[in-house]
Amino acid sequence: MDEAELIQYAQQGDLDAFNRLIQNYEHQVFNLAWRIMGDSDSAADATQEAFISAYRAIGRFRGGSFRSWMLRIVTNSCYDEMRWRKRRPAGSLEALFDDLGMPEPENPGDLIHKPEAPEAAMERAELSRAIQDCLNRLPDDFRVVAVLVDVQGYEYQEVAQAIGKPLGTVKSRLARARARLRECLQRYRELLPSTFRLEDESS
Amino acid sequence: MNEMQVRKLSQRDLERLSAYLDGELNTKQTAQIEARLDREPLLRDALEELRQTARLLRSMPQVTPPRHFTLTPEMLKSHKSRYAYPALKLASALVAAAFVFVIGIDIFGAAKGSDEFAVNFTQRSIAEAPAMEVDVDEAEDMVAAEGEIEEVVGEAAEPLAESAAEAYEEDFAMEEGGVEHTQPPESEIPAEEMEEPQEIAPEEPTTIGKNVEGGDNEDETRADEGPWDGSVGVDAAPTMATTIEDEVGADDGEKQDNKWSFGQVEPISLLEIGLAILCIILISATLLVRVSSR
Repeated sequence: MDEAELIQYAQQGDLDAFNRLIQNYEHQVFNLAWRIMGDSDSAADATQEAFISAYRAIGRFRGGSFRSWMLRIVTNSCYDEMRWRKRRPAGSLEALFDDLGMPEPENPGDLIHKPEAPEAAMERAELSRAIQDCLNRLPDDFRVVAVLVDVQGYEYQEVAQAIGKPLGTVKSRLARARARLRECLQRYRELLPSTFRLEDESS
Repeated sequence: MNEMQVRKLSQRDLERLSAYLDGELNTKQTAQIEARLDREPLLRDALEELRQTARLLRSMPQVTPPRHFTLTPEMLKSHKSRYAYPALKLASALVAAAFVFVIGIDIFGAAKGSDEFAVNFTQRSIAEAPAMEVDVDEAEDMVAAEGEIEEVVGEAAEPLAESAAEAYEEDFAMEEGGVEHTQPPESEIPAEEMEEPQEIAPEEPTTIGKNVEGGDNEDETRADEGPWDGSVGVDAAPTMATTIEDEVGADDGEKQDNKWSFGQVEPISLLEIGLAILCIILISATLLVRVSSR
């Protein structure tokens, strides 16, 4: 059964068809939410909420790119989750890390990467945490655009639809996000690739 | 550490460079920025910094989801409670604000009511004293137009009160000097004279107006000159009979109002109680939903 058929069945209230449909997007949606939210628990909540919202709204899906439609729902779900987390009293370990400005430790076992030496894997994980820390320090609107374009590789037009803003807003937010990230990453110079450091020093 | 080049860029140049990096500029803009890149080293360095930053972000590894996110019918049912929380929170805030507003109105209204009573009482007291000394000529000036009586009496009250005070001081001085009181001690005043001014006291200002308008009561009003002459009230009584009845009626009304307010719960109090109960219920429901949803 292809995607169009699954969508049609899901629109008729078939929950199994919907579950089969979202299996193809589970990985993509969770990764997007993970980079926007900055921690695994929040990302899981945002992902679950996104799929529930998608199921409730799929009756209104009128064709076109299901991926773009899903992207918009996930982005909104992440914004909802961010608002929810801000209201939630701090107390969890993730909140403690957030308060201290520290990135949540990533479980290297969760990372998908090619087999490499333990030392290289550790460096890679540390660099990933450093980048995520800098992402977390960005304002929400900047972070969402930076993750969508630079981390997930979406086109500007698709991102503009996802966040419901004009193309110019996407360009502006992305440029400012990149400039801030560049500045933030200077704190982790020792973790940055040699090309990054060398070019910076020569400038 | 060298200073970053992206910091030195204007916002417009930063956006142009960032979009150029992703191939999102049109042909004309691309040609413009490339021409500038050829001749501006600062722009070239800034572009390189942005490119490296974007490259780092794209190098971030993908993670495997900790679980599957397939939906169950139970999940769809419990999902509603999450949206109930903000709605309940908003409702609680609105009801609490309404409660505070009503309480404020109640307190402000009570304070204003007591102030009005104090003002009325003072005005009435001021009006009573001079009314017993005023003569008709003065009164005619005071009540030039109907409806201005309160204002005129108020204005006339000050000089008359002063004259009364002066008279009292003269009496006091005479007493000090061994001269006999022009006014008999209270114990020597006949009981009738003692009572009458007290009875007619509230109607005095109105009496003046009536007498002036009537014209034939000039002699009777002249009898008011003596501050302790109780005959004023008796003589003027027929002229102001209606007024007295009105006043008495008004007094009865006030008494009835007082009886009602003390005997029953006021509507505003009922509203306050209702809002307080509603507020407690909503806050409890909000907390319940918040706890149960996580």
